[in-house]
Amino acid sequence: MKISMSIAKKRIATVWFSFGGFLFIIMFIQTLGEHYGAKVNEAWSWFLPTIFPTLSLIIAVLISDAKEINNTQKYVDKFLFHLTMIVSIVYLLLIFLVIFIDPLSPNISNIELMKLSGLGLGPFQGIVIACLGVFFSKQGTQN
Amino acid sequence: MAPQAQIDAANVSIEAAKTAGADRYAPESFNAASEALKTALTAVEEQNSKFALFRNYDASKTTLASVATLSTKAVEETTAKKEALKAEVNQATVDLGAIIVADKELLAKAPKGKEGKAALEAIGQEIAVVETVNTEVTAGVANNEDILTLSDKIKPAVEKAKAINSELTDVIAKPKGYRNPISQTKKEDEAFLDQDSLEIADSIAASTMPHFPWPPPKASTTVKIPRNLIVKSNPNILLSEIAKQFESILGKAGYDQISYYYFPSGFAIVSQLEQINKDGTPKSEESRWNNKYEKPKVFNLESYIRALFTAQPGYFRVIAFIFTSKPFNQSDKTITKETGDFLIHAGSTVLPKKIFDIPFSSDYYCMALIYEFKQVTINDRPTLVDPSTVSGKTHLVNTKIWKELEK
Repeated sequence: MKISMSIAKKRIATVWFSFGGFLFIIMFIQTLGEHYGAKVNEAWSWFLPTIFPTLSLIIAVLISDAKEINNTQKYVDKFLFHLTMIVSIVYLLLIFLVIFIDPLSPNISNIELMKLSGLGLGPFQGIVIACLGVFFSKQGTQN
Repeated sequence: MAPQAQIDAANVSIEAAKTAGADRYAPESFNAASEALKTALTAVEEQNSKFALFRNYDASKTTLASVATLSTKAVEETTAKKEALKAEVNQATVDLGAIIVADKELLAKAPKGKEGKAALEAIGQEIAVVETVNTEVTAGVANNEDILTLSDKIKPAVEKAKAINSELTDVIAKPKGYRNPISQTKKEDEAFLDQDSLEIADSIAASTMPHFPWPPPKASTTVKIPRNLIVKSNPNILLSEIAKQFESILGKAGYDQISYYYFPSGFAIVSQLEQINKDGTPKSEESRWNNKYEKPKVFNLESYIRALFTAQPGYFRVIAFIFTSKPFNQSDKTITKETGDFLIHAGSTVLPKKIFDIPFSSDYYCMALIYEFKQVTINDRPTLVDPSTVSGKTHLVNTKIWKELEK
């Protein structure tokens, strides 16, 4: 079972840009509302590295694809696509959870929560980037 | 960009002032410089924490510039103070020498009874100690030793020599058996009614009780409690009775812990640090006495969204009731929440009753100083609210203290 490489890439990019953009807007509104008080720097220092390296990778691949002269249709294994998609969504949901669970956790500050989540998110981000790397670097096969 | 060069320069000027001894000789100016530096650093930190585009260091730069001026002033004051102290100490050694001579003459004249002999020998030893101090201080001045230390050394010696002089004069002048009335236990039990006695009571209180900061630190708001609410139907009420009355009133308003402090010409009652709402009403019992910021509780979607997107400040309060006959101004110094919290532990648990068996005459008044602190988020440090958005009276009304006073 295979799926068109360009469609797969677009779907993954859509997921990352929608979630990433939404979380960015949330963080921005929180910053304007002084939700993080004096530790706004720490909050952004946690958030930006969780999303932007992957977004940069996706943008680079999409630009590179757009420049490619040989536009022959390529296909990629559906399992690899689904795996990458699921890992990405779970990772983004975890980030989502860290931000949205904060008002419900009375005994821990938002910054502490972010730092604590880093222990799990860090290694998980490694898995996500590995999956995305493998997926995007696949040349695909012609059907 | 943060004004790092100016911060470094300010640090250097503070260090130079400290090396000159300004922290000891001109503490007010030195503290003003240190405070200015602290304020500037806090402002810089505050700006650093903002989003890069919103940063503005103008205020910090102005404050940093004032640090150098204040440090220079502190150094100049130090030099002047050293000179003045030197002259003062020189004069004190000369005066002390004269008093010692007089003491020795009086000692020789004093009657030597059966019991008096040992007492006179003890006095002779005290004169010898004072004389040794005088010799050491004279040598210290000649050797350019620290003049402040020498000044601190000579002053009690002069006082001691004067006390010996006065004691010996009394012994020679008064009939046998005469004793100083204040040192008699019987007399201590009597109410102090005249002006001299009030001063004595004040000095006893000053030496036996912990002191409330003087001048009192700037409060968020104040309120003078009307005399009729305190005196009620007893115009001869004593300060000690008022203290009891307030203990009961504060207890009924929920304040189980209070502390007493000495305050010039009176005393102060300080309430426990409590968490309050923005309008000055106390928080629910479970949160009220928690001295740490608590995140607001989420109970519906609206409160969740508010908690998710905005800062939810926490408010804390300490109330100090000052009973005094002395007019006072508040200082420019602000206290921190930690200091406010510390006041409940550092004070005396009871008021020494006998000392304050003084009528609450028309010279006395009661002023409530309300220190309110605001912590914007769990990530911020609490700061003094200046001024409070709630009036002093409203604070007391909302704590039910006013209602209890009116009963």
